[in-house]
Amino acid sequence: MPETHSTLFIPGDSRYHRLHPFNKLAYILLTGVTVYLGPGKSLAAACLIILNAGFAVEAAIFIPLWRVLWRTLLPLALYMGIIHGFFNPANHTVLISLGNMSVYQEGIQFTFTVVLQLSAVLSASLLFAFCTHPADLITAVSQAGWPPALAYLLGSPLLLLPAMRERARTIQAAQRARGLETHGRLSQRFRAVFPLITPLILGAIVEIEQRAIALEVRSFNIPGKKTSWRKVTDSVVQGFFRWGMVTVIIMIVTYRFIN
Amino acid sequence: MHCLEIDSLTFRYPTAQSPALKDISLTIRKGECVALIGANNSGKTTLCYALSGIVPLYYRGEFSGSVRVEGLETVNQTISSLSRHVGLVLQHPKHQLSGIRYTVFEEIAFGLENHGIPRDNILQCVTEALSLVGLSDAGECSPLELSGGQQQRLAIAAVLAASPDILVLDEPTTFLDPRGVQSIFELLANLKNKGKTIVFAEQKIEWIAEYADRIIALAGGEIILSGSPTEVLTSPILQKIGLDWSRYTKVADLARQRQLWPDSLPLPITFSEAVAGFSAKSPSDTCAD
Repeated sequence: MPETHSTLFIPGDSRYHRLHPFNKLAYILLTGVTVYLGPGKSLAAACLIILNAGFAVEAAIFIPLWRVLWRTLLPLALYMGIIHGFFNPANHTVLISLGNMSVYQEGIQFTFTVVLQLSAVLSASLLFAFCTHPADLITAVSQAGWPPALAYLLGSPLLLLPAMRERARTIQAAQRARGLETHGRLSQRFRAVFPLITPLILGAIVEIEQRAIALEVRSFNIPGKKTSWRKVTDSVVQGFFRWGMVTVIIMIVTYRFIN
Repeated sequence: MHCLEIDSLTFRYPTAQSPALKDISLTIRKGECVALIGANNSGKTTLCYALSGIVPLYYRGEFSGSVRVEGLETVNQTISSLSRHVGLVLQHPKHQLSGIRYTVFEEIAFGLENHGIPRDNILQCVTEALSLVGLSDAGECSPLELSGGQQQRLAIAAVLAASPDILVLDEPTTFLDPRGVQSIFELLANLKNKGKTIVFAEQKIEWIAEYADRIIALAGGEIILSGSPTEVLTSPILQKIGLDWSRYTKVADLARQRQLWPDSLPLPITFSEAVAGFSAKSPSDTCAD
């Protein structure tokens, strides 16, 4: 399938691909709750990262997932490592001395824990994004009886992103042709932002109006039961796991509240 | 039998100083192909919106008069209910994609799903619509992969799937290349042959001359001219409202001033009429003149 649909979705027929979108969403929520509210945060995060890596290998998306993960987290890890390694208020055990400055163990540990937690949540979210087509998410939301507008709100940004990116490229090329400098010094780039962003936003507003009319004439807002051509696989077993995850989430939140 | 009837329609957008449409009255017969022409801001788009119920059901401005679609007063309907009678195709092909469907097939099925049509019927309607617009082989493609002309045909298929008898198109060829323009006009001719009533706003005079049964020229929200393509497209008034004759008409007019065009023939509006006229005036006639 073409890449024009979505920036992240990679078609496949793995077990993770076939999971109901709500199960994948529940898994993201479970991951977040476990690593931030559950006991043994670092260990739980490490276990979940390994589990997510296993899912990614099974879904044949390990390399793209890993690529996005490290590109996102490495700058953050370095930045946090520097700030907390040197300046965390809890610092007292010197790890490395650098002249007048010292890197402390507590700050590095804190950074490590945060990066582990983020890695667990981000890898679960990327699994969802790589293995779920937005159209499936929208169908699932609609089939669950949620308002169509909500389904549209959830799914359309992912599907319309390529079109927005294409328009941004066109605007950039047009502004460059008129002499706007979009490369070079930071100040030059900063000055270029406004002439690029303004037509993009104004164009998007006009497009939204046209799209709203197009949706209206295709009866998007008609009341009553809708049908769906696209089918999203669901089963009793998947439902069992979904509610199982929800139960565990409630238990962890309750545990955290009590302790 | 008239399927579209407009009586004394005046409409002003909420933020506008003057009305976009002023006292418009017209009727359109079933199976007729009517072109709306006019300069920018002449009211073409607003008239298209009025015929499909967008005005005043979506754009709520000052509205007076009446618009009846197959006997239904648009102000008493919803846009969704009107969509079963009249399909609206907009200018920009990309803006008409729902943005939430994966394939061309699913994109066309979108409107039918909203109406709660069962899956078996969806299959039939979408297959027919795809075949009608010549996209049968593209059903599994992404809508974003299609060319501009194909996307516009997809937009037409998306409205045709709901089986409206009337099709209203607002400058459907603006963003298309010449091949895309040709494919759209050929499709319109095909749809007309199948009995659809077609109303389209357009600027491309030479194409309109080939395909329209009747032309309505608008200026400042009013109907200035209405009649057969030859009557409207050779009228001197056309140039006064910011439009132009076709190059065939202009050349023949110059030729007529120099007695190179037969007096018995009206000015041509199409290539074939121009060829016929100049052929009728043989070289020997010219020398004699």
